Amino acid sequence: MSYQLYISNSLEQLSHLLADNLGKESPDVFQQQHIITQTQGMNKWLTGQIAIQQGITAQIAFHTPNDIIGLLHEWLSEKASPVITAEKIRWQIWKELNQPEFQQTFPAIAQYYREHPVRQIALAVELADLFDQYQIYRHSTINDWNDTASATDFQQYLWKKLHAYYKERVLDKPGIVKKLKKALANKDQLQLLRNRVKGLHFFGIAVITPLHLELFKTLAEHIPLHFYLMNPAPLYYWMDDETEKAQIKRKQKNKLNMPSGDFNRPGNSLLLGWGTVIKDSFALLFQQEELINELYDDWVVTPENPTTLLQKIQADIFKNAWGEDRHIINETDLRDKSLVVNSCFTPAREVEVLYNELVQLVEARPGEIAPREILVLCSNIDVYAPYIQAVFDNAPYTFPYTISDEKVSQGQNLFGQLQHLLQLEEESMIAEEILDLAESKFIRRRFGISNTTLIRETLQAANIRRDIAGQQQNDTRLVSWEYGLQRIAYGWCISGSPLYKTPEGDTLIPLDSIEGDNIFELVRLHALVKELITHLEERKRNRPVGEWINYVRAMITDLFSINEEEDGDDYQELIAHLDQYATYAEDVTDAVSYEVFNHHFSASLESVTRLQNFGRGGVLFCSLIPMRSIPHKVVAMLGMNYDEFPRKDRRPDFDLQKQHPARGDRNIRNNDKHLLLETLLSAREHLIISYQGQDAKQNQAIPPSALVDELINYIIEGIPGADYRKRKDFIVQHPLHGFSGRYGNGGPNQLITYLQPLQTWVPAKKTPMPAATPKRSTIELYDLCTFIKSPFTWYLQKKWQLYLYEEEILLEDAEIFELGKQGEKNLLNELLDYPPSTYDALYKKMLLLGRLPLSNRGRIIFDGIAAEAKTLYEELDGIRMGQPIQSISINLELSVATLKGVVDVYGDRLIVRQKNSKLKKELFPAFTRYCCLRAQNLPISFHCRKKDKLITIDAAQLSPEQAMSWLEFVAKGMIEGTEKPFLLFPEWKNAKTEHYFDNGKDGIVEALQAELQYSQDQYLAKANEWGYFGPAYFDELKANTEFAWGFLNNIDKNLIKEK
Amino acid sequence: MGTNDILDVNWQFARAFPEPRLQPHLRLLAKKLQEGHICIDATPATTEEDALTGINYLPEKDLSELKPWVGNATTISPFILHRRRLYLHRYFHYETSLLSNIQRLLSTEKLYRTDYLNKLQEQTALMKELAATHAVDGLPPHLAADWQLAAALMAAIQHLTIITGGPGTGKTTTVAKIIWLLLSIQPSLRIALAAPTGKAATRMAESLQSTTLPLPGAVKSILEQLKPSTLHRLLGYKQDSIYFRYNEEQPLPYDLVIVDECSMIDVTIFAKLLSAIGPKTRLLLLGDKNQLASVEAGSMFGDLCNQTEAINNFTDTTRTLLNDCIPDAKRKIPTSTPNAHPLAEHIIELQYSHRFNINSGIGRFSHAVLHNQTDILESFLNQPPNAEVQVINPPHETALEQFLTGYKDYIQAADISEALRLFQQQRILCATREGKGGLYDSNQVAEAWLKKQQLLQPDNGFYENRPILITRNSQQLNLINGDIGIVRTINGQKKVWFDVGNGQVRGVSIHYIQNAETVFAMTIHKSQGSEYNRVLVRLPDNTHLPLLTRELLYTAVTRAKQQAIILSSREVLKAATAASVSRASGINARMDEI
Repeated sequence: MSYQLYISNSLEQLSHLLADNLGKESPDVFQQQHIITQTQGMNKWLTGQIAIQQGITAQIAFHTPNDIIGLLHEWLSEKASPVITAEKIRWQIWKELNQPEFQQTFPAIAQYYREHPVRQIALAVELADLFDQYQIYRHSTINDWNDTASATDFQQYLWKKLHAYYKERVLDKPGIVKKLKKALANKDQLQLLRNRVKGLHFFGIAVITPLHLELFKTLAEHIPLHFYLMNPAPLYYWMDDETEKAQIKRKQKNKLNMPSGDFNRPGNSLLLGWGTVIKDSFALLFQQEELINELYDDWVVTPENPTTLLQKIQADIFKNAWGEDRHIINETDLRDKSLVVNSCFTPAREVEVLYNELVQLVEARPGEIAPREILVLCSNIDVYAPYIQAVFDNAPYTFPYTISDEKVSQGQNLFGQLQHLLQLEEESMIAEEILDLAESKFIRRRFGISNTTLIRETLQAANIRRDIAGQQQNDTRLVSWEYGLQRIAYGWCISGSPLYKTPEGDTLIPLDSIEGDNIFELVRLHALVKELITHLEERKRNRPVGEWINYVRAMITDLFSINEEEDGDDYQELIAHLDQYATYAEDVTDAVSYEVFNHHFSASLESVTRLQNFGRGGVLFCSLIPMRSIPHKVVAMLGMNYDEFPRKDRRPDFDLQKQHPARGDRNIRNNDKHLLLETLLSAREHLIISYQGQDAKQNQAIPPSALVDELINYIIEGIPGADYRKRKDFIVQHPLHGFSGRYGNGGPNQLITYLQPLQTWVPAKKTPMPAATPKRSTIELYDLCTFIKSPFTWYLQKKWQLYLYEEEILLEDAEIFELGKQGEKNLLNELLDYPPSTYDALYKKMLLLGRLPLSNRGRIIFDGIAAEAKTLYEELDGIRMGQPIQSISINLELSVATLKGVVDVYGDRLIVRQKNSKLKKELFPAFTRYCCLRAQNLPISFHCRKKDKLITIDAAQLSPEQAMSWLEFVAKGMIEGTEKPFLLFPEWKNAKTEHYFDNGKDGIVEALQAELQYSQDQYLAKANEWGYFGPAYFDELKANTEFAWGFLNNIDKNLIKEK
Repeated sequence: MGTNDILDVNWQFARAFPEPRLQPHLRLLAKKLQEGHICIDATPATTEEDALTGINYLPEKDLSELKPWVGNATTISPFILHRRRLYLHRYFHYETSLLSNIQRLLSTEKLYRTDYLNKLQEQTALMKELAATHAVDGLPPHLAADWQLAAALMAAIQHLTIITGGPGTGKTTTVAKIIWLLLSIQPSLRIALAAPTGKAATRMAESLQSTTLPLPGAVKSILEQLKPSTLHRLLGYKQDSIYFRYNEEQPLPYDLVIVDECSMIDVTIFAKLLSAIGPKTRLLLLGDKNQLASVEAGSMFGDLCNQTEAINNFTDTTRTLLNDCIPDAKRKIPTSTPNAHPLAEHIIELQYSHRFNINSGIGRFSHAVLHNQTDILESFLNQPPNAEVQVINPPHETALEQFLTGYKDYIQAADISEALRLFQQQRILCATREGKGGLYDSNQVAEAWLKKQQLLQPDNGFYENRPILITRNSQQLNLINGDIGIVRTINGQKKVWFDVGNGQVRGVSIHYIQNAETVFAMTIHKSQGSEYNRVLVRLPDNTHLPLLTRELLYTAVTRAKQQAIILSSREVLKAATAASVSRASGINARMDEI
């Protein structure tokens, strides 16, 4: 029997060979054949390749190197014991850590977790993983441990405890290998194996471990083992070569003038720098001499006449070329699109940019690139998945696509929602989190919740922010669930918002905003929250893991309703996961806290990934691992960020592998380098790399992953003269927004986008309402005042039905700390409605309604504003002179319409209460109301406050004729202003542009537009966007505004100070 | 309490208040509120089901002693026990407010009575114009009497007038007469016209504008300018609030407020409407007392009109006044037994139908439904296809398919405004949403059949010519719950088109439409306030549905102007007409508080 080692730089060639070998191996169609690979992606691809070769792929079983030891054990013996895995031993280790004996023997270790229960489980998880690794990377250590009687090291101690606990019931891998070797010596058992297995095919395995090698050595004596291995430069022996950089480093280290003969041959920096894993694997394999003798490299594909940048790099690697041997890279190569590096601001932009690149490629060569020939590798698929869906689902050209490897616990599915529930904390119970839960379809179905908008509004109105109960002493009770739910429940019953003392002892104001059927929507929410609280309460008691699993089951039953058709698969998978988890912990009867249980259980849920999506067709998005070396026409890599790739090796100090490194050890950094090398070689025509190269907030440049950096430098070094300034030109820096002006039709220096149709840059207007037939009509004074307050708002609302509100999207999770300027202004205005003697009661009411910051802070803010309000109120009182408020009916025949309405006055005075310090928005409407009174010739005076000055207009100052002429002006404006904007900007006077009237027209227009672009008044901003503050309208705007100001100025020059 | 109770919304409601002895009462109260009642009996009878589940109700006395929870008319407690009825404080407050506002209207109108009478005297010339003209020979006095004129005159001297009448009894004409009369008295009269739904309000305004009365130009032009609005809009809807801009502190700025389709108004809106009527405003409430009540709690209009002793009941003085104005001797108001009911003289029932005479199909059928006259109903079973009313027993698909051919016209109409008009000619009306014969089923059947005829290509989205019903108000889109539109691509843009009156249409991009459903069929509840030439009514195949009542069937059939087809088995029809809605409220019992 034998080893066979097939080496190639082409995976396709190796797969053809595999197919041939399988065909030759057994003519029996019922004979199962075994292939060992590392990834599911590879299995899928090989299945396809073999089918192409043989016409059918049948009776093939794929295994991983990890499984093969256990499998051989099964094949060789009738009764095989299970293998120790990390999952199985975690809780067992935790239990050992809990033992007084351990804690006494290793007090320093115990000290680390004694006060921190979560650390104990974290340590157990870490050790379980390490033990898993030791079994294959350090099997001799494990054997030693097993063989010695006493234990000095805590790991050894724990291992021995496990070993003693499991005995023959569960075996470790080195133990199995020992047994296997013995079994292979037994003729009967060997025959059993030979009947079952005609040969083993190891395909594309990059990592070989000492334990496996030991096993293979014996195994190869009995059955054929075929290794199909990739070597990027198979025709050259490069394993001992050194890069120039490494040589220099060594020189510096030795501080010696070493003779040149001491140096190994320099080689291609990418191959040598990134090929460590291959180097190590080959080195391990070649420890066995038979292998060197059985090496075949007849399947090498020599790259010929590389023309693109990507091909040139691939050819250089093939030749292990360096220095002058490398292909020369010219300017055209940099732009040939075969290798592109995009720097973006955010992951979302990376996906958008990728989309644009793909469309561009497909458009350039219609019919040549099929979606299934495109592979996208993401550094973190869970981060990118939502953006991929958002961009690709809403794009103008659609690509079919599949996302694989996404964690099942992400998103709105059953796993994700359960995860959400598990993470809910009693101390926080943040309103938005509960609302998120209430929006989950499982919970909505269970509780019959349908109107989450109403729930959101109600939670906001009830001022529920966080905490189940809150605390009385610091007023946080007022923002708690218990208090808020009472406000809601008593609100169903009690109307009119009275101050109410509940039978439970709280003083509150029932929430008077729900009635009718809406009550029952809130009843359902109430029940849900109560149920959640009950479950949270149950977490307070420690219990064994098995009971916690039952708790999780109960939570699923009580809170979720599962639709068999939609979520049946997920549900079965979840139940299976729970069952399995329970069996892992069945021997652990010590009670643990919820925190400890959840720490590990949630992590175990996270590890469930969705593999079933693999290779369903279309563009494949997946994480970096599974498809890495499989050839595709287009390969893209997203998220090649600084500090994230290659990933850091975060091994604990007690890791024996770290303490005593050996060749072939698992090394994440080297693995990632290898991964990039394989990806670079597997891209047949295009490689697109993107990373977050710019900080979205501070706009600082961020470098790419060190490996991408190396690649870029490698490229630049290939240009004669190696001008590093070209780096900047090679990396394509994309703007922050997809609608940036830098995107155009692909002209010089323009980027291309397919996601933003150019015409949308012009603001899309809504369909106007059909014009109303002009009739002589009645105008309400209320409408007239609304119009003159802001003619643009009027126009946009009436003509275009455009209502712009700022909506609060998320519920707040903390109490109010500040009122803000606007809030303080509003509070002041509100206080003016009440006599100062009632302020104390008002304070209490506002606090209970959640309108003030809690505790002392709220009181201080309130008192400050109340003092100001009191002064103003008294001043107002002075003007009122004790006269009661009365309403005067208005009925005026204007030339354009009849004006009707009501004006409130105090006896013979119309008082404009100070709405804000500058009298900004109220002046025109107030003056209009006053004109109505004067037009009816009523002897009433006008009083308002401007900044700190009181302005009084006596009846004699405004004649009825003048008043009528103002009303005619405004009413005409209003009627016209419904159809087209009435160009008047009452607030202009107060805007920063005040002095611009003195400047030239262009200067004013520019300044005005610049200012209004960011106006807080969204209507003004919109009117500006539509161009109504532009040069075309300017003259009319100026004339109208000046006329209006002039009019008021004529009456009293204090009303508006005109220049 | 069984385990299933955790998900029973009524128990959930009860358990929000931690007083176990009260909870059975609260569960019942919640249940009844959802069924449209506004209170429950303080000592409810224990049903068989209650007994099985171990539910015990406290005697009234014990209930009244659950002090912090249960209070009386003068306390602020979540629940109020008043005159043997248990209410939520909220609904008790609305009921009380309603009664006290009625009382307020009745007492203020007294202050102006002499003035109003004097002004009415000046309008004698107008009476001839306002008087009824249809032939009354052979009609009994209660049908011959000119109730329309009586209503108009009463509206001129009162602040609260309630007019009820079935389809075609001339409610709109009466309103036109009232407006004419009042405008003659007070030319500057400010009028508001509203209804619970936008559709009903628009229909009222359109009928007013197309009245055949010989109105003077000025009156006509005022009618033309009347802007109908929903009740919510009239009262001044405030975002995120159950209160309105107009209320007792700021009454509606009108002299006459006319509200149509009042049977659809629930107690909360009814109370708020009455609060917003100022001391100088006349309120005119119109409706059909026999129609379905609001989906929400309270059937105030029905409750008020159920004061039978107050209907068409006048004192001798008033009757003399009215009859002095009625020129035709045959149409004089008949005498009635005087009584001291506070609403006497305020409720007028129009009894003569101009559309359906008592012998016409729809008239006879709907009358028989209301009075559960089984023998008459029986005669409508299996009528010939052109009959005005046909009950198809057993229900079969052919009749439905035959009816569906009526939708062909709108699909084939080239002009969208014509399509909208044609679509409104007929409708399938369903009692339920779910199940066979329900709304979803009917829409699916319609779509499938029209697809088979190659008239439509339905999919799950906005397919071409899909008729849709808006189910939630959207201020931003200016769409009202109940608006009906049709999906069509015009000039390359796929939009939902809505009729905005006067043959004009308005399109809203399909991407903006969120709350909408297909509307070949609609529920009978939703159809209130609309009329169609032809309706096909589908009743469920189940005699035990609580919502299957004579009011439901009456409402459905009276939506038809020309033909009503009813798909129903004899048993279901019988069960429906045997059951009648009766909603608990304290209105009747509390009339003496006025």
